[in-house]
Amino acid sequence: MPLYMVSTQSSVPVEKRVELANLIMNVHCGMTGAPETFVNVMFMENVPLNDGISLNVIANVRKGRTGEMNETLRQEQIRKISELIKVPEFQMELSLFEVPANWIMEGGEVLPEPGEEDSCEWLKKGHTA
Amino acid sequence: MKTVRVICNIQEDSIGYNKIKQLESIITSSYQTHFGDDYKLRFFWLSIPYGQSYLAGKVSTASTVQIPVEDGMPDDKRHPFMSEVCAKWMQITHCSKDEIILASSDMTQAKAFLDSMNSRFKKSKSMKTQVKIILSMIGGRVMKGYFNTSVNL
Repeated sequence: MPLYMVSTQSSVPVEKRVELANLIMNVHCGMTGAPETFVNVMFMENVPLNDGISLNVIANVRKGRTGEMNETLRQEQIRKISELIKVPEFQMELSLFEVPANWIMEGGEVLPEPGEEDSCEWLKKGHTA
Repeated sequence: MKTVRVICNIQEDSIGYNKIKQLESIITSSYQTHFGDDYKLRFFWLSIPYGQSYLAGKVSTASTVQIPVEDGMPDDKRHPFMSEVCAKWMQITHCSKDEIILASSDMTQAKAFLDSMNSRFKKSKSMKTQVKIILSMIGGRVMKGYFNTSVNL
């Protein structure tokens, strides 16, 4: 968590997927302070998206940040992804879906609340999946 | 009897039939032990082709599992169940603890999330796409013995 699910109508080349995964991670971590090892990105292809939409992103993010912060994160992700894949922002959909951290288990532990990552044992030991 | 929809995103070909059936059986048993016998779990397995999931910018081998629980489930009931499922998943698949990500959301939230995923689909093709997914799941069950399809449509 976060888990960003990227849906596209057509296949995305491997190199571009790697770039996108890293970009999404960097934007998310840069804006929220979350550790990189939290950021999951999954790609789904051949999805019949809404008219005029080339790329859809639905992200599960930890609840606890302000609405303003989430909206800033959402807009920044759209802007950066648009620059990378050369798709106009209006052809993209990106929504953030808030999930309480205590509903998620990773590394055998319940996720810490945003900003409380220092208490997370598996983060200290490293996360490698 | 209440049906709980369990969605498991797993790496393509990473878990074979026997282990899938063991997981279905043991997770159902855990769920009923923790929350009562009045639940029937229905599993849907979505396979992720290699190179389509990333963790920390690198190709990930993790499985992501969603097992909803009743709304408002207190942590002292939710968390022991989650710990047990993760432990059993690791025991059966021999994965590391970093390779299982479990979400046990409230049922209402899980449904809202699913609705959100379905809202991606082109309006005129939404029903057709959902039918296609269901048919693909059924086809997968005929071929492999459990409901499955790819994350790609």
